[in-house]
Amino acid sequence: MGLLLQQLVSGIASGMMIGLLGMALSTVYQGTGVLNFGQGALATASAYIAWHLQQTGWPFWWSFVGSLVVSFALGWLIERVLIRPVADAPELTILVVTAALLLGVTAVVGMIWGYDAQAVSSSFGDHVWHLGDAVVTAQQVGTAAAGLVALVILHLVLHRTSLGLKMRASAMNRKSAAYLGVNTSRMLGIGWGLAAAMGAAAGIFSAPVSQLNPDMMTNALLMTFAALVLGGVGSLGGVMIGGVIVGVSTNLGFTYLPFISGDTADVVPFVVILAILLLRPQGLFGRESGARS
Amino acid sequence: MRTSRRFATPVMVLLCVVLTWILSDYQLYNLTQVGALAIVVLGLNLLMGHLGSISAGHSALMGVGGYGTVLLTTRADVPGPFAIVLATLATCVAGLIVGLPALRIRGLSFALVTLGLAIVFPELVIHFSGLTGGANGLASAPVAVPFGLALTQVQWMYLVVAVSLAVVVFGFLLVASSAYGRGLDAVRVSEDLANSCGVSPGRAGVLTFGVSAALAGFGGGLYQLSLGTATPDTYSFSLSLSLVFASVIGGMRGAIGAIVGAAFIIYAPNYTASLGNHGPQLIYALLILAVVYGRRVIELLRARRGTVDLRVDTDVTPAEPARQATASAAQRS
Amino acid sequence: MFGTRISQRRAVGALVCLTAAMTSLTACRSSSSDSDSDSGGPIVVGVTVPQSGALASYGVIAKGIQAYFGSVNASGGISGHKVEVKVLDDGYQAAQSLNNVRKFVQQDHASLVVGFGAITSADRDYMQSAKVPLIAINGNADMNRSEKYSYIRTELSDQRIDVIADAKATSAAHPDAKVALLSINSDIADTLADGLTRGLSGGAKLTQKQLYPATATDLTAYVNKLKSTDVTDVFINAAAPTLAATMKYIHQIGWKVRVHVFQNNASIAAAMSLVGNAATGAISSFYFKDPADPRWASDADMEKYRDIVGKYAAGTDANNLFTLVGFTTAEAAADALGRSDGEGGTKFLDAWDKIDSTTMIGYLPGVRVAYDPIDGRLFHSEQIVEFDGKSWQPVGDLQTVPAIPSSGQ
Repeated sequence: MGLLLQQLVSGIASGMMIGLLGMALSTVYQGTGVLNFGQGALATASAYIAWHLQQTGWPFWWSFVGSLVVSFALGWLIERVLIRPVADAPELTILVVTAALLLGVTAVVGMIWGYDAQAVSSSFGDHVWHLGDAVVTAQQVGTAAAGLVALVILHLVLHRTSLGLKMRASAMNRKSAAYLGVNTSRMLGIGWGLAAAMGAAAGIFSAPVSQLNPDMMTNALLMTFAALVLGGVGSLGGVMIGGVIVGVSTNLGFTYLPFISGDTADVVPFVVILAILLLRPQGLFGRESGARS
Repeated sequence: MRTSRRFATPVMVLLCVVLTWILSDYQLYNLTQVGALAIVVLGLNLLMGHLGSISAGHSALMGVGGYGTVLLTTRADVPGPFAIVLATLATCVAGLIVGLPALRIRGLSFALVTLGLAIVFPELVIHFSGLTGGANGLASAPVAVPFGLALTQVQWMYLVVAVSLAVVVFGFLLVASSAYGRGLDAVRVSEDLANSCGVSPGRAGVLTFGVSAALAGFGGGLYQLSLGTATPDTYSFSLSLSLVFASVIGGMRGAIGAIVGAAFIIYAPNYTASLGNHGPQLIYALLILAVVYGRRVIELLRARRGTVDLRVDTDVTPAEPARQATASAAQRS
Repeated sequence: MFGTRISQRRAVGALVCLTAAMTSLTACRSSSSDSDSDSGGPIVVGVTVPQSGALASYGVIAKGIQAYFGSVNASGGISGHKVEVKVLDDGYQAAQSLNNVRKFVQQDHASLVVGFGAITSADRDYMQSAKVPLIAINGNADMNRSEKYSYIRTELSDQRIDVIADAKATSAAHPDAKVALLSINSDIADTLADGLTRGLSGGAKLTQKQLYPATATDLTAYVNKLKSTDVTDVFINAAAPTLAATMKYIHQIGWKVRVHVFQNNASIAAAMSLVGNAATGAISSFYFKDPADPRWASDADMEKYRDIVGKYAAGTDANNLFTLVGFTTAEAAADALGRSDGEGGTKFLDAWDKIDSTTMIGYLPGVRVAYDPIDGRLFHSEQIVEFDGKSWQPVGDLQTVPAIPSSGQ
C-alpha cells in the first residue's frame, strides 16, 4: 500500500510537469498548427537561465520570474524569425525546422554551461511529510501545486481576458479573426511566448528531480506527446490530466508489470498514443477536429 | 537532352565503380555508408515526397533490417546475401503492420506514432538482451570477400552497396513514374481526388509504408554489415531525425536528392566535429536551417515567376482540401 | 523519369559536383597505406571519449592523457618521438566510437587508441582486424583478457574485484545482510551482480536487483520500491550527479540502509561533495587516491600530478577522479611505449603485459600495478574505505583479490 501511494505521489508530481510541457505544446499547436519538437529543449534552456541567475545571487523566485520573462521573449522571437518564414510551407518542412531547433538549442546550452549534469537544490525546501508508509517531499507537493496554479492562470487568461479571447479566435480561424480586427500576427508571437514561459516553469521545477543537463526535457519527449494526444487539442486542462495519467501509469506500470522494467519505460506512452489515436483521435477532452488534420 | 540523359546515368555508375581503386579505405567506408543510407532515404522519399505521409520512425525499420541481418549471420549462420534478403522481407512485414494504423490516422498524428516507434525500438533491443546482445551489442565479424577477389573487405562492401544503390534507384524511378506512383501523387494532393480516381488512400498508405519499410530494411542491413558490431544506439531517434533531414534537404522526391541528403548527414557531422570544440552540433543545426530556408526561398521565387506549380511538383502538401482551395485561388488571381 | 527538365539538369549537375568534390578532397590509395612511426614522425595516440551527452563529464579523461603526454614530450618524448594525442567526441554512442577509431587508424595512422566505457566492446572487432592496440577504460567483465581480442587491453580493474572486496567485508561485518543492487541497466549490471554473488558469503545474500534505463536521472521510484523490501545494504551504480541526488533522497525519506558506492562514480568532487550530510557512512572499495580527498593535499606524488595537469592541460579540474584516470592510463601506456621503443603493435602489447610497479603516481599506498594474464587487468589491490563527510577513511588493510578467469569470448 505504501509503495502504491509513493509511486502515485511521484507519478502525479512528474506527470504535472509533463502536463505543463504538454500544455505548451498544445498552445503552439493550436495557435500555429506546428508540432514543436524543440519545446523540451527550450524548456531546458529556460531552466538553465533560471539556474544561472540563481548562481549570480538572485533569490529563487526572482530567478524564476526572470527566466519566465526571458523565455517569453525567446519564444516570441523564435516564432518571428524561424517559424514565420516557413509558416505556409509543408508540415514536414516546419517539423524539420523545429527538429533543428531541438538540436541547436541543446547544443547552445551545452556550449554555454557545459554538458555535466548539475545538482540543483529543491525549489521548495527539503521538508518531508509521511503519509503512512509513503514519503512526500516538499518538491513534489510544490510542483503539483505549481502545475495547478499555472493551469488556473492560463485558463483565466484565455477565457476571462480580451487578450485570451483574441488568441482563441486567432487559433480557431485566423482569417475570420483577422477580418474582425484581431492582430493575428501578434497573437502568433504571444502564443509562442506563452508556450515558452509554460515550458520554462516545467523545466525549472523538474530540474531538482532530473538534475540539470542539456538533455533534461528531451528524454520526456514521448511522454509529453502522449499527454498532448491523451488530453486532446482544445483543452489545456485535458492535457494536464493527460500528463498526470501518463506519469502515474508509467510509474505504476514499471512497478507492477514485469515487462515494463526500467528500460522499456517509453512503451507505456507509446501504447497510449497508439490507442488514443486509433480509438478516440480527439483525445479524452478535445473537440472533434476542424480544419486541421 | 535525351542523349545526355541516357549517358549521364551509366557514366555516374562507372565513375562510382572506378573510385573503388582510387579512394582510400576510409573514404570508401564513408561512401558505403552514404550509399546504404541513400537506399533508406529513397524509401522515405517514396513515403514523404510522393505519398505525402510523414515518418519519424525509419530508424526503427532500419534497425529491424540491420539487427535482423546480423542476428541471422551470427546466430543462425545464414550467408550474408540471404540474411539481407530475409531481413528485408521481415522489415517489409513489420512496415505493413506499422502502416496499418495509417488506415485511420493521418498526417502529424501518424508521425507521432512513428516517433514512438523510433524511441521504443532501442529500448526493446536492450530489453531482449539475450537475443540481441543488449546495450553492448552483437559482435559481428567483417563480411568476408568472396571468390578470393583481390579486394579489401571495405572495397568489396563499397561495390556491393554501389551496385545495390544503382538497382534500387532504377526501381525507384520506374515505380515513381508508374500508375502506382501517380496514384501516390494523387493521394498527396487530395484524398478526394484520389478516391475519385479509384485509388484508396488508406490502402495506398499501408502498401507504400510496406515498400518504404522494405527499402529501409535493405539499406539498414547493408549499413549494418559495413559497420560490423550491431549496437542499439545506432538505431536511435536521432537517426530517424537525420533521415528526415536527409530527405528534406534532398528535396523529398528525386533519387539524386536522396543521395545528396544521405551525403549531407554523413559528411556534415564529420566536418563539424573536425572543427573542434566550437559547438559542432550547433553548426550542424544551422546548416540544416540554412538549407531548408534556402530551398524555401528558391521555391517561393520560382512560384512567383510561374515556372513551378507549387501544388504538384516540388512541394509536399498533405491532403488538406481547404488549403488547396485557397492556394489554387491565389494562383489563378 | 527524374521529374521536370529543370530538376533533372540540376540533379545531374549536383551529382557531378559531388563526385568532383569527393575526388578532389581525397588522397590516392597508394600514399595512405603505410602506418609506420619509426621514421621520426610522431607517435599518434587516438582518444575517443564522451564530450557531449549524458556522460560528458568523463571527457576529462582526454585532458588527463594530454597532460601526461605533454610532460613526456617536454622531456624529449619517447625514444626520440613526440607523442601526438588526437581526441574525438563519441557522445557515449557505440556507433560514433566505432567511427572515431576507424578514423584514428585509417586516417591518422594511430599506433594506439584509448577508449572509454562499455561501448568500447563494439570497437574490438575492428581494432583486432586492423591490428592496432586498443586500451579500453572499462571495468566490464566481458572486456577481460580473451584470445579472440588479443590486441585489446584494459585500464581499471575488473569491477567484480572491487565488488568482491566490499562484499567480503560486508559479509564479515554483517553476516545476515540482505543486499540490493541498484544499477544502470547495461552489461555492467551483470558484472556487478556477479561480483556480489561471488563475494557475499554465509547469510549475506543478494536479494534485490533494480535496473533502470541509462537516460533516467530520477531514481526515486526505484528507491521507493527497494525501501518497501527488507534490504539492509544497497549498492548503487549510477552516474555521479544521479548518485548524489539518490543518496540525498534516501537520507530525506529517512531510510536507514547502508549505502555502498563504486569508486568509478563516487569520487568526492563528482558526487560526495554534492550530498552533504547524507554522504557520511557511505562505503566503497578504492585503489586510486581520490584527488579531492584532503588526505592527499600535501602528498608528493599528487603534487606532481597537479603540477603536470596545471602545466599541460591548463583549465582542467585536477580534482576530478577521471582526470587522474586519464593521467594514469597515459602513465601506463608511456611506460609500455618506452620499453618497446615507441613501436606499436605486438611489441607494445608485450611491453604492456610486463607492467609491474608499486611506484606509479595516483594509487593508494601499497597498490601494485601489475598485469595479470588471467584476467588481463592491471589492478587487484583493494582498500575498503568509508566516507566520514570529508575524506575516505581506510577500513582494515589493503587486500589483494585474485583475478577471476575469463570464460572465453
